[in-house]
Amino acid sequence: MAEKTKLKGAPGEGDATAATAGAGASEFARGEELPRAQSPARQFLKKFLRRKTAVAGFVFIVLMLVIAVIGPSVVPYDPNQYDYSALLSGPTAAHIWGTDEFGRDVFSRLVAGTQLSLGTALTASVIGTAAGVVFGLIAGFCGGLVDAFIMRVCDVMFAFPGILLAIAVVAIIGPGLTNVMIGVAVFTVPSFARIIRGAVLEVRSELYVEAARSVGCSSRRIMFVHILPGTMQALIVNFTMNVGGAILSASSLSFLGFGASVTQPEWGAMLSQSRNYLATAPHLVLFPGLLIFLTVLAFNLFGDGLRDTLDPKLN
Amino acid sequence: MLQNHEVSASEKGMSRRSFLGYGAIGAGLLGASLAGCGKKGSDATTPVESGSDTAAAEVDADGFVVKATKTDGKSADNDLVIAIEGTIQNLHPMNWSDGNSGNVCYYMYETMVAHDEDYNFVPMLAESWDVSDDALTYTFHLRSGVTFSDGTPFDSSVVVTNYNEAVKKENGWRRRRTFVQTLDDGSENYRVSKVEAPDANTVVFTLAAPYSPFMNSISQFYLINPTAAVDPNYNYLAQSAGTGAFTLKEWVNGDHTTVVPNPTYWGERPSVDSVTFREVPEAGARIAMLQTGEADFVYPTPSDQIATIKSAGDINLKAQKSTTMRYVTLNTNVKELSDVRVRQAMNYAFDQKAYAEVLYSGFADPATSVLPEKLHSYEAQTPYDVDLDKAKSLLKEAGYPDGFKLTLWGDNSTQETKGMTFVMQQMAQIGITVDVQPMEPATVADKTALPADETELQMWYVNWSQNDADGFLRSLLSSGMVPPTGYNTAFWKDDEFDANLEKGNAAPTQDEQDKYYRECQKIAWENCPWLFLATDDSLFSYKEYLKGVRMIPMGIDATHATLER
Repeated sequence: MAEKTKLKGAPGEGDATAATAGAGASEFARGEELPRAQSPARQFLKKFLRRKTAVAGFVFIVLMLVIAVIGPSVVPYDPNQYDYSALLSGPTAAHIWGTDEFGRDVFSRLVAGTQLSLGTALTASVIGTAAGVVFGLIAGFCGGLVDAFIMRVCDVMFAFPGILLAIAVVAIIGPGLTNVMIGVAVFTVPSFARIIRGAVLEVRSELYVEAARSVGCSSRRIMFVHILPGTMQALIVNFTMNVGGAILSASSLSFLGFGASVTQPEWGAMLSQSRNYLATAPHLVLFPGLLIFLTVLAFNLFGDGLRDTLDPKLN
Repeated sequence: MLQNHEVSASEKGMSRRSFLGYGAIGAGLLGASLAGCGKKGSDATTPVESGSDTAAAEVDADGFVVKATKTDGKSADNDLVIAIEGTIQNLHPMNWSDGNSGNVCYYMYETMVAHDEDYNFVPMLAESWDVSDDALTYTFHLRSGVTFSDGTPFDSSVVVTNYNEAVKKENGWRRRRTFVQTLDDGSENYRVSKVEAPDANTVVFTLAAPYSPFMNSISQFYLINPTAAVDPNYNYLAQSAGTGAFTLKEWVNGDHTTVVPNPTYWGERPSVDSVTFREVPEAGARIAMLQTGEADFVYPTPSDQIATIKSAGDINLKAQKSTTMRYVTLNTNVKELSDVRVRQAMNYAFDQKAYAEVLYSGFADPATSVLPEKLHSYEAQTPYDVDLDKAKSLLKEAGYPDGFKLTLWGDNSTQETKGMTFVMQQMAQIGITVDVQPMEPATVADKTALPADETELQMWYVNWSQNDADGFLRSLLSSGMVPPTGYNTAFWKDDEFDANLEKGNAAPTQDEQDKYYRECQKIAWENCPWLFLATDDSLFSYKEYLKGVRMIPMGIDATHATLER
């Protein structure tokens, strides 16, 4: 029983290591008389802070999330306010990132668009991950025909480049940001299903799972209560890495006209509308392009850092 | 048959666009970072500002906006490449629906009578013609020694066969409506009562009643090899069947169409080895192709690329007043838009001058009638000068003080999308929320061709070009021309307008005709079936080594072009 309570706590923020750092670590956490043990959270933090690029990525992500939440209310201009007397002006004191082909403030639009772009990518990743986890758990735990079926379907989906699959989905269900989320989520599913299945296969033979089974726990209970927390590490790392890809995919779809309306300040849509001015007003593509680039990079660096910190093999 | 074909064309077009766009993202991102390295933003905008401020004043007497400074350039080959914005979907000379297709047909097919640059009628396959005093009998004397590209001789029987096929209802050729009028109750009125061929070189058309636009109908009556004309399965996209200076070499859906000189042509042989129309929806890409020499001629040229063209040095850019009317149809069957006060309010809210400036850097004139200024029957109407208070009070009167929501359709090219966004911004001033929905051109064409009870059309950002008043008033605004028959996509019906149009059609003299057409313009202008935008100039740019290309009502005429090598 003690085992179980520990594992339940595992998904908590810094506790991600608890499950795989092993049952041994948790025993120390309780023993007061023994030499002062470092809490897993503290251990994790110490290791993570050593990776400067990952920290930088993390800080940038937090910044972007803050901007996404409060940005629209603090921008200097209304993102849709046009000014026909200041078309395509370069960066000035009044418009620090210049204005676009309607004289709209690029900075304000990008800030306002953060919510759209980041929101779309995060939602798509959450949906895709959740579905992928369920399929991966089922495949790994049930094995046999079910496993073969789910994995072959995943193989088929893997055969298509992700963005192509997303385009196909959006082409069928129609354009719009919500549908882009679904499209991006769909191509996220197979990779998570595969990762989780692998992790499940590993955890499944652990002693504590066998113990749970022998005391008569139901399959569902074993799957979600005993096995899932054991895969948490792989999940967090891959989720973080995936968000970066999802931002790129969602922006690409909006660029192609499948996602955000051309009038919305979504990053990809802005890039798409600006591509005509590549030669004459490069700041129009530079800033949205840079923002997409940096955000994707931040998520990837952060994901890398997390993996390095969490993976016992690398320590 | 034809309908199905168009649908499949649109699907293929879609996949190509997606593929191209995908590659473009990478290029865009890469370009963004590269451009960012080389130039500081403030420097970069200077040429744009100077371009848009002074451009309009810089058109010289010959129509040059930018004149090439390097004049020693040579073409690498004798193949002329024209980069166009839209798509070529149908090369049936009597059934095409988009202007680009019509333009290409002009290279391969001929009419008895053609237009010159000043909109006068000039001989083509007919050497001369007579009109009887009662304006009922038109006699055409045909050129002898003309053959179709497969050797079939051209004579008067060919004209009779073509006419019979053109008016045959089951053929469903779009140009049928130049000879057959559809009345509001669905019945039909044939303009021509009989066509006879008294001898091999003479054709006589007898009209049922005087119809002054008849010569214009004849100038659009392309003559097809009779073996092809009577064959409902003839594939006009695989080969051509005309008497023109060129024959079709290949048509590749969504990519390009190439025509080569017709070896048996009766007239002067073209000097180029081939003419290729390449479909390049990206305005920036078209200019890039011109810079590298991949394309020799670009139309339309986006006005915001003037600075780029100027810096290239070996490119000419010319501006020419056009007959292109840009407007947004307002479907009068939509509840909110059925009220004329709402439609007027929208026009009072729309700033045409800003539109001309933002969209065309000033290379456009605000619309002052439903007809472009260049047409003979044009008369300026009282402009809807921007007056937001009046617009708002009209909306309030109509019962929409808080505005409402509408969808706006249009092609998904960069320029059209920009125009639609502009409309959205203008309408937002009076509380009308516009949902901008750019689509593949072929998709828009399909969706806007549905009849009143099936259509979801609310507003359509579109343009139209014709060389006579009837081609505007009848095709776009008469009640018999609502989809699927014609392009009255506002579904606007006005009996007085229709009556004046008919009187104008039957008028024996141009002056009398203009009197009725002016009345038509007045009625249409006051009723606002459209949001009136502007007439933009034709801006075309070409390599300095290319000579002899001109813009005509049919589009780009490169039949007499030469490339200096």
